[in-house]
Amino acid sequence: MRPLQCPKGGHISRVDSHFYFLYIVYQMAPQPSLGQFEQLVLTAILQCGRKAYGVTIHEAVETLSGARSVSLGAVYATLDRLEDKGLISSWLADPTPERGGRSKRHYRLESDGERALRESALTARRMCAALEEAWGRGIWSAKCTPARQS
Amino acid sequence: MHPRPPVVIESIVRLLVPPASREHVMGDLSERYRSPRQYLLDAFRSLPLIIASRVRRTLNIGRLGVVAVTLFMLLSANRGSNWLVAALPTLLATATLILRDAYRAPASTPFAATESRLAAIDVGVAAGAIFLWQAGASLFAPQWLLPARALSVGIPVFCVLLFFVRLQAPQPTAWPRASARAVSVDELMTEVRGFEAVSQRAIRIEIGAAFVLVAGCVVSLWAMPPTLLATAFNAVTAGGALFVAWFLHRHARIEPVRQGLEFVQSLASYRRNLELQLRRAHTVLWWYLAPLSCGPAVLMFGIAHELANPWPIVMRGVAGFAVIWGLVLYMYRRSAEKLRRRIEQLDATAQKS
Repeated sequence: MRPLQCPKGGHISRVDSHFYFLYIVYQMAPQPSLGQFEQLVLTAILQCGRKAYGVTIHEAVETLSGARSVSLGAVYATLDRLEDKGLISSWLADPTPERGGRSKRHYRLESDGERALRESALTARRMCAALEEAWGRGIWSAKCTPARQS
Repeated sequence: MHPRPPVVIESIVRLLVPPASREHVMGDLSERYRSPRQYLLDAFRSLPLIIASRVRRTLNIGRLGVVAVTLFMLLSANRGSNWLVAALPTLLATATLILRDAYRAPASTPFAATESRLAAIDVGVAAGAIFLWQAGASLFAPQWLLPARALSVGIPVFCVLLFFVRLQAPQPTAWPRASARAVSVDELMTEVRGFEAVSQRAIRIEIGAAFVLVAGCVVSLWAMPPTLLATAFNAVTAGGALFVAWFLHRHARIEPVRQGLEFVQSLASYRRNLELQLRRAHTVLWWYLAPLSCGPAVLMFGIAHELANPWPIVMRGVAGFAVIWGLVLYMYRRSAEKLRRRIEQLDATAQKS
């Protein structure tokens, strides 16, 4: 493990040789891949901006997902999971009267979250390009049926 | 004026929502309120996933698994009885502890040590679940009643063990937030003091437990018939426990961060302590599991050596070792991941400052 660089001096950690007997080494975890619902929730947070909290994120996710009805509990569970992964962060804002004097929990994307969302968007773009190549540009029309490959 | 849900319905829903999510979930449900029916549907559709998410965040499978295996072994006092007699109350007590953790109020600061009062409540909840099982079994299914020895010896021993296990660990939600953000000096020192208190208490409890094990081996040597196997088992187990106590005292104690240091120096000292705990977590196999397993291994092979067909006992012993080792390694691996993530966050914080 690399030592901490202290610009103003200070101690640099020294590895104790006693600990290297049967040392189990874990590699750095790779960037987490996002499920489809996680991508929707992250996009919703981005869309909502400063007003990203449970109710608005849920409404945005329902809009983004199309006709599907989305459970509020599923949104909360996904927000918790994303926060545990370090992709978003949250804080409790001031209470408001229309919420019975209760606070909102606001969310925002962290840099890791932005990076993961961008990766997902690039993957989706590559998929779209491949589908257009196979099925033609007309696939985005609702009435179009993809032609079978002969 | 925005309509409010009926007080009675709101109170019921409020009780069911875990405290850590209560504020914002109740606020969101209140904001979306249109009618009592809509409110109830919204709440009861959301609750299972909210509770499941809370259980996922607070669940420590390794620690819970060790507690469950220990309880099962203590309740399985009578040989020849159906193993389900011990397994079912064990599952009930474990499920109760899982829900207890999910419904615990979140700690206000990172690395908040578990108070004795809360640990005692945890013990009360688990014991209460077992006695509830006994009451139900006595009324409806007497064949599932726990034997007297399990009640008189197993449960009290389990309660003492559970109390110290709960006291040793920080509260389930006590780890700092996953995102790397700037921290103030006060926030850092609050976290540092909390970490030091929790680590020192955990080490004291583990050293204490090692000495209790040594004392148990000495009493066992005095009480048991002086056979070679009994002497070897007790001596090796006591030796292993003494080694663990020595190692913890010599190599695992953290040096408290001095007051009055600059932010970067405090950060560096704290990081060093985290690295020490991370190395302890990574090397748990050789300084903790192996020394404590030597005594039971001697006992297992000693008994197997005297049997005509040793394989059943050897297989059961190996399976037992695998389960315990697996749970402990998993527990320490989870701690190591959290420690490593916190070290990376502190590196990012140091670069920002």
